[in-house]
Amino acid sequence: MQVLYSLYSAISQAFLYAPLAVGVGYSYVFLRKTDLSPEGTFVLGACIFAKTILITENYYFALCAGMLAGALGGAIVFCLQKNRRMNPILASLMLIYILYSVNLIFLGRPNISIGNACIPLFGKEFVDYESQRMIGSIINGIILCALTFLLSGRKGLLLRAVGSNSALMNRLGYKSDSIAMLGLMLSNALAALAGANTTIIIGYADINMGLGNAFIAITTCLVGRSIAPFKRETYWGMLLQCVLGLTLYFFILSKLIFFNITPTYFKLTMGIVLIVILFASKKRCKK
Amino acid sequence: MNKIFLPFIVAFFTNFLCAESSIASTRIALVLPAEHKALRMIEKGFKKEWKGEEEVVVFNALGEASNVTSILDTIAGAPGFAAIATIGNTLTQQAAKYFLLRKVPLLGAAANITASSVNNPQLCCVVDEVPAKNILLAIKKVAPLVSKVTLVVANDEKMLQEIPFFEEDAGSLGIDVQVITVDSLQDMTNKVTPSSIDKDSTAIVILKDHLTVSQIPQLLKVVNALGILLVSADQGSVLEGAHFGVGVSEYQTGVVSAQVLYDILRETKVPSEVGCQMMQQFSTFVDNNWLNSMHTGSAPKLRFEINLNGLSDASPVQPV
Repeated sequence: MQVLYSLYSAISQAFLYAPLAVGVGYSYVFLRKTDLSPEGTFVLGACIFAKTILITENYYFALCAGMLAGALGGAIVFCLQKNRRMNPILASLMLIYILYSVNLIFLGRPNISIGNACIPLFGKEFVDYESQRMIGSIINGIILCALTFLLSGRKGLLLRAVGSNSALMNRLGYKSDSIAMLGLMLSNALAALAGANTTIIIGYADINMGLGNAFIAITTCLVGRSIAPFKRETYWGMLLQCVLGLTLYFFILSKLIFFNITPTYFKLTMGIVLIVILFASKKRCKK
Repeated sequence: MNKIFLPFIVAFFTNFLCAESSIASTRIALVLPAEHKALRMIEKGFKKEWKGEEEVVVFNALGEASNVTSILDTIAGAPGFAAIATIGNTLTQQAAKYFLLRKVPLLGAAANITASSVNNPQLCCVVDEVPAKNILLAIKKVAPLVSKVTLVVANDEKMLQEIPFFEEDAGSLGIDVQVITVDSLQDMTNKVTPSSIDKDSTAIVILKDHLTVSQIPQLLKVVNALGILLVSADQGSVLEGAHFGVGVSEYQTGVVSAQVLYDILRETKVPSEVGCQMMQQFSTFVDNNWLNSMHTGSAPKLRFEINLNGLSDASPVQPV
């Protein structure tokens, strides 16, 4: 039973973080930009969500506000790296740096509690952890599926084409900059969505809650890609790979916690397990 | 699956299944928010005092939010956890929300969260906060001519609420307060410098918050440069290097937490009756190295006369 519960817990946590990993995956795999800014926009989404829900007491409005703020963050990071003015990694680190202050301005202090904020659904108000986590995961799942469906057509193809060869796209008369900016806005809006839904579930927004999230997103995206039986780089494939990678990550995490690994060795053990998985699947691919 | 990957997965899962079938039936979970000496002292006190036959299992979130969720899931999914003890406000708040419908007794050690604020009647807390007046009185005993102190606090909800009380208590003792709020570690480096501290300040006072406590080495450089005191509100900070502090022993907080949880599990008390239990025994913790160096004259010079015997006047002295 415990294994099943761990699996359920890993899947629900995976869906909570899925927008973050998928967002990073979009920029990393399709746009071919190493963008770490979701670590900052995750917190930005959480902060704007927390502040908005405290003012309006409307979960859905706060969620949209958080995502919009994330999208704005994506637009800023694009402007910073446009025309190779700044290295993409440096641009995203710069944004994370700036967002620290921006988040503090919005929150007013490093940590803000949203008390007993609820998620209204079908005339009912859900305040408890389990229901909120379930609904939050479902909302993330629906948004991701809708987006993947949308991107599976021509629009998604344009995004991939810009990542592959933006010069050719320009020659063909497409505005590759606008498409790349939209891609980054989308990726960061998804990170903000993950931050907002995490906030409602844990009950507070914290200025440091994004620490390590870029690592989780990139690692799980790569782990998912390496262990998934399907290798085609499609949007549906990306979504499933990210969910698979996140599920495995959180499953291993819960098992390491279960075995009570000494804190000193915890991250070392986790890192070694992830490296083994990545190496093992690489060997499998070679064969 | 190839020859490398498959055995790895099989071994991993077999290991889980075997381990899970051999779990002790009744346990108590003690969750630490991060790795810290002071938190380990609470754990030590809790484990030492725990009289029940339940095994105390310690989890550590290592300061990451995603780890906290996984820990709470592990506790909820594993059989036999009779009660959960968490340390600190944020962790207690999250656990109270998580276990709202599960009706598991919850104890927040070194936390100050009321059951009504999280709508969870199963929650009770052991509050280890020390009134500002006790700290200020200790400073006054040690440095009788004190006219001003500098309060360095993190800019968070709980700490900001404490500032007016601190100022009020200081005012009643005829002491002025210079308040410096800091947002981050970097902010601390920029805002707390020898030039930013008022010239007539006798001491930098820090309260119980992770941000300031984690920067004690930097604060020590500032106070040594100015020849003033560094005073704290807990034992952990003195362990890190603060000159002295008035507070509750972390070990004792663990002991009282274990006693409260034991009473709740044996149904001699209910969580709502306990509510937020204040720790009553305050001690003056003194950095032994500093004290010795003051006696031998090798400590950095202070710019005013102090009376070290005054330390024992405020509350019982515990060298650290």
